[in-house]
Amino acid sequence: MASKILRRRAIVATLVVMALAASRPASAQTPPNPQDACMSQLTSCYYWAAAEAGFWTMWAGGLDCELQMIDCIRRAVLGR
Amino acid sequence: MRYLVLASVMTTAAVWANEVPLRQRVVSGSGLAGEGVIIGRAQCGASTWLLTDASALVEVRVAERSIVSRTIRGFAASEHPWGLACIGAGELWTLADYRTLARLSASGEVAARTKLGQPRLNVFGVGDTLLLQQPPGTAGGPLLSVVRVADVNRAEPWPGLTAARQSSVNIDVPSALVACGLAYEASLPCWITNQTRITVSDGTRGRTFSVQPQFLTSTAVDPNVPLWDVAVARSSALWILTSAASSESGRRAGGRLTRSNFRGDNLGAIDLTPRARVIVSASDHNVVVLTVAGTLMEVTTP
Repeated sequence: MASKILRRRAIVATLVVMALAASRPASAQTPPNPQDACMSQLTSCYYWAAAEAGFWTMWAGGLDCELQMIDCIRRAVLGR
Repeated sequence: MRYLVLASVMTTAAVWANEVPLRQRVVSGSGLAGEGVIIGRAQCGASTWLLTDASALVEVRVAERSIVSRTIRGFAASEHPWGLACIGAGELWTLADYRTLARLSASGEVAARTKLGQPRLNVFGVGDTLLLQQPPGTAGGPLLSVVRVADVNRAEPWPGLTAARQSSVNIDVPSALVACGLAYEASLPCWITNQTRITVSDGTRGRTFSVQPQFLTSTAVDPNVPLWDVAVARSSALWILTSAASSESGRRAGGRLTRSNFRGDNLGAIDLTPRARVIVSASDHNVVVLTVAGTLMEVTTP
């Protein structure tokens, strides 16, 4: 069970890294996509969660990572 | 052919005739410059309330052009409030976390908490009901639902904004986030943060309008967040604040204010200096915005 969740998160983390690598470089004319920085934080957070000891700590850590990412994007696009 | 050209010229002339220049002037030098990010805005009677992530509940009294800021007390360290709604006779509500609604007193204290059965991303208010934004489910499902405080877990769909099909590969959170502007009575304008279509609805399908601003194609905006704020005024006028293509201080802001209608026409526009953080109030012929410099600025039609 724990390894399944970790595997799924590892896949998501890999997809996030690939998506970031494929994204266009920021230029002076194009404002940065607010999602990019937040996704980068998500990847780091998943690595941190995966390194936690015990299944439930890893699981809760991963959930926290996802909530933090939503909050990060919400702040960037809805914060005034 | 000649008639076609004549009709085209007459139409263009009519649009030009309706497009009037707007005027801006600072009406109050408030003390709200850069004090945290505004994470919620709600209007109640003569006051507009702002909630910031610096734990401040700010009351803007529009007629008096005054701003009163109070420190919020009562949130736990683990709570990160988001959104602000004002309903009924001045009840202020926010999301204390994804599953908890919290009522705030006007003095900034957390007066009550209500647990939600499902996680919610944002809260808005219209009339005596709360609008909650739900995470996107199946494609075509509603993004907003309406609830009453007495039973927050009995939700009815709010028409207009629906979830897009989510890709299994690309994560696209902004296309699932909803923003709402200032309502006139029960008519509330809402939009998806990375789109340009505005839905104005009073909650009934018969009075739900889709507005596609025509002028956005010719205006330089931040494509990630094209619409910054919207307000509905009495005579079906819409004030549309579009985002600036570049930020002056690293923070996004509204760069251009356009008076429009439900057809999305440009009836007059102005580039704001300084740029605007949020619309504070709107009527048919004037708008008050809070600027990035912390001032209140009024924009009027001649």
